[in-house]
Amino acid sequence: MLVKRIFILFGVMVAVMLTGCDRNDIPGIFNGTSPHANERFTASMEWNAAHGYATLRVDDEYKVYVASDSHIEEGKDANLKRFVLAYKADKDCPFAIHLGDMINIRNVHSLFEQDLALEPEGYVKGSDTIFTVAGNHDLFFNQWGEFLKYRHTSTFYVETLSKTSGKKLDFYIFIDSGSGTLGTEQTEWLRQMLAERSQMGYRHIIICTHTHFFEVDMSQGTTSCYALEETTTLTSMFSKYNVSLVLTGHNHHFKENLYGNVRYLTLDALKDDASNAAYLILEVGAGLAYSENKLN
Amino acid sequence: MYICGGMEFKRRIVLLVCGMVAAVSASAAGLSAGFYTALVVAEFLPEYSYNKSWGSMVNFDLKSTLPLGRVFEFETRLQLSTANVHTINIVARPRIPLKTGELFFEAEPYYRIIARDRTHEVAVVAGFGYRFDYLSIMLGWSGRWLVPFNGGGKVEELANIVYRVEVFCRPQQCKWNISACVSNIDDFQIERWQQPLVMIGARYDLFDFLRLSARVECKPTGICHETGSFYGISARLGVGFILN
Repeated sequence: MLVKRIFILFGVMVAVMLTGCDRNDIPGIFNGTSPHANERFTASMEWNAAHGYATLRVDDEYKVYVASDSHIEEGKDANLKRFVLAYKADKDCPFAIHLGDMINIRNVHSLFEQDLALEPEGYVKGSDTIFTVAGNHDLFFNQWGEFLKYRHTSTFYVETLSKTSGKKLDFYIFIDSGSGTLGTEQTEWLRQMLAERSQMGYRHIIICTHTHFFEVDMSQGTTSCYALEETTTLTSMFSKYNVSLVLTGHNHHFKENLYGNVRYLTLDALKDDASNAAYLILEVGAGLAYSENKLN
Repeated sequence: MYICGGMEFKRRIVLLVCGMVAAVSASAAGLSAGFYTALVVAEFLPEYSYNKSWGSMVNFDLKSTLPLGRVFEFETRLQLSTANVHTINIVARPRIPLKTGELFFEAEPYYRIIARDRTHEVAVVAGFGYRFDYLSIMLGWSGRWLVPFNGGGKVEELANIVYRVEVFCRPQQCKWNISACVSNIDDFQIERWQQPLVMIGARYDLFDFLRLSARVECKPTGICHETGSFYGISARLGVGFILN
């Protein structure tokens, strides 16, 4: 009888695991339910080929608002709204960045888009561009299609030029690390991009992606980063090509590391119920400076 | 047919326990070829490996086990790789024989030169475990320092858990055995605890002095992202010489 009960209990557990719930994509533990890294990279490149890459004319000194891990769901998007209203109200901010894990449950990519459409009082259209990359939560339950529908691409670059002189200023590379790996094709694209652009005289090359690079503490429990081989491969690439700054999220707790002359920032989560909820304001000029805006 | 209930099930448990006790007794008499022994073993383990960051590589692994009686053993390991990543580590393992199985402790200094990525990796592991014929479990802590060749800041990862759970299909004194293992460490790598490695291993003692072994290891990634995918695989064959 005991063995029979154990089998029944095991069967129930397996059934629960396979169905998962609205927040955790349990089958994804074994095999991600969205397309894997190489396929997502191909889809992003198809969009880029058809629509091109963004080149923005900005002041020589400007601000970028950066957030990560908003994990929104119905009724839990107040901090995202505050972030959107803040960057749109700041005339020194030509664009904002979201580093992934935009949503927390199924079918709320549309809610994220609604929040991005908010406008502060007296808003003059201009600072309404936001660039995003996919985080793992954005991919749960095979939602890559939803991500593409609204955000279009998760691997791309953005170039800023001086509004006054037309000179090259900064180069931002957005990479998709939503499944804890870049995959072979995206890694090669990144290598080629860095090799080429590091020779072109930009002030700063800035990498934006979801997954953090180092596990310096256990602040976020099971939140994992890359396999160690991938960590050393990517970090050595960043050092070799003189990347100035790597912006990541995923870990929900702010960390700053200087490694191989590259600065790595891992952002606090933006989500409503995080006691440390915050977004980052990056001041970009000849140098790079940042401050955190705490929300809770 | 209901074979696992009632008296039949209890009889099997009693037989299993008796078998394990017998196996430990036999190993104490020096008959065992598994981990209860005090055998000096030198192994050469060529390995093919692939991962998505470093591509394909061939590794040449050397491993020696040097016991001091039944209460202590040293393992020394060296790996040279065509990927230009080379590893050396030493495991000191005090053992406490029990009536069934043994307790053990592990202390492991570890160094890997990841020359292809111009990085030094220095780590230490400290752990303890219990093992008997059919199961070996280990739990511990590891700390890691990643240091680029050219400086510019290093990273310390000092809060990592290490674990190893290995199940065997036969008692340790058998001439051959097969095991399945989940761990975040193997002979030549110490991964973050969220990054498990899945291994299947086999051993066959062909003669009193010659041991053959094989192992396949799979490394998925993104498991704790709930977006799991394949990352790497390695397969190795080994020939070991029992020197005492």
